[in-house]
Amino acid sequence: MKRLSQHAIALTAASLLFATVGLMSLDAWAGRGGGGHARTSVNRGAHVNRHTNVNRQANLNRNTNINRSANVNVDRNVNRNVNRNVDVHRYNDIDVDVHRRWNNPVGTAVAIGATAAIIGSIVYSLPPSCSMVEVGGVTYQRCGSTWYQPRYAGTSVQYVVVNSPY
Amino acid sequence: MKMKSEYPTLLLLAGLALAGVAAAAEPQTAPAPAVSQAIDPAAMQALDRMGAYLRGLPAFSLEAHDATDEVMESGEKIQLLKTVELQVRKPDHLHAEVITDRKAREIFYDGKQFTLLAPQTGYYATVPAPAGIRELLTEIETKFGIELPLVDLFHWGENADAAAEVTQAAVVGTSTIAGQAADHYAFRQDDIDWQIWIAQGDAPLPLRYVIITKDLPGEPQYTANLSWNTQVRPDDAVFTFTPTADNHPIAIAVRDASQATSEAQPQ
Repeated sequence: MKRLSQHAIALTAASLLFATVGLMSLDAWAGRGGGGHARTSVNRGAHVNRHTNVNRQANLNRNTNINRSANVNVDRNVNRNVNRNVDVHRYNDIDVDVHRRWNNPVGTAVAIGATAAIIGSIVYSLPPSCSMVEVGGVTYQRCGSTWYQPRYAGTSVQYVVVNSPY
Repeated sequence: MKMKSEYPTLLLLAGLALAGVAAAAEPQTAPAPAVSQAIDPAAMQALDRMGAYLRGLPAFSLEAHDATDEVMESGEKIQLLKTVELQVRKPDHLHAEVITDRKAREIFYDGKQFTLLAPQTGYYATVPAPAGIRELLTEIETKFGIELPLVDLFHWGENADAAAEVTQAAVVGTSTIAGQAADHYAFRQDDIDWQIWIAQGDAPLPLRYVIITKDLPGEPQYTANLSWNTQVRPDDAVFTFTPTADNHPIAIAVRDASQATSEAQPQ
């Protein structure tokens, strides 16, 4: 537990560092994952061709590809990137891996301060005291002077900082 | 059956080729491994029979409890649980309630639209959907990164190529799952080992399955236990999402990296 909490603090600090430049929010537990998770299906799905093994090797190098969607092993590698904080440009991959799964080990998501929220940046939890507003059929969360637009990324809800709809 | 018999032959040839390399220094004396005997036809037949039965079900509901190992960087394995309630009417109606330790979600699919609902916040996204459950599964996984739990139930008996991936198959014996007599089978593939417990009798339903991911450190395991109702005939209303005042439309991000910023807008 001691090691966990130290790790968590370090990752939290790293997360906040990234968050201040509007890049990402990381989660202590998610950051600690990295060995991957068990495959949850025997069948790969009809859309995956029969040469998945070959393609999977290619995926290890983090190339973009169609098969990634069906490929658990790719996620493992994405997780590694999260842990090492190697490449902040992989935001979308981190998002895919850490937040889209049904039961990703998200403990307490890192709360991003309401200060200096850059338009287009994404968080996974809102600051306190927000109110939901629907404008023109679009749902917003207004948190002080900052507006967030919730959306799904996989099965998770994320909040994109947007301009005021007014 | 043609695929099955060809595959071991290929393996055998590959094995012989490798053996030839190894034998360069000294004469080869060991007999070639009897790969074909590793597949017990009875196990493959049981799988086929279960698949055919699943394919033939016009409708069903089930409750599943599953556990997925998450491997930590340290190598420690953490088991995460979820409960899934599925209601299905073939070929194009599905409702799922998924409750994990982290979130609850509902999925509605009526053959025309797919809705993902977060009951606690009321957020929902509705997008046009393809016709057919299997087409839907492919689309939501490819486009949105959503893997419906228990997808195997929709692939067994439908995916003719699946059997060709099995390299070993065995009948383990009989067992009892939640009071039901079951036959226990074990299969090996390149990167997974998996086991399944199939109900004995006229309704060969999968009652439990376990998948071990061999190509990940720690070999994490997935386990699902299922209890079935094949008599239900769910109403249309079950599958169609009708928003109330407590529901709030949101978009759903499209996963394709080349369109990372695009969204499917609420209907």
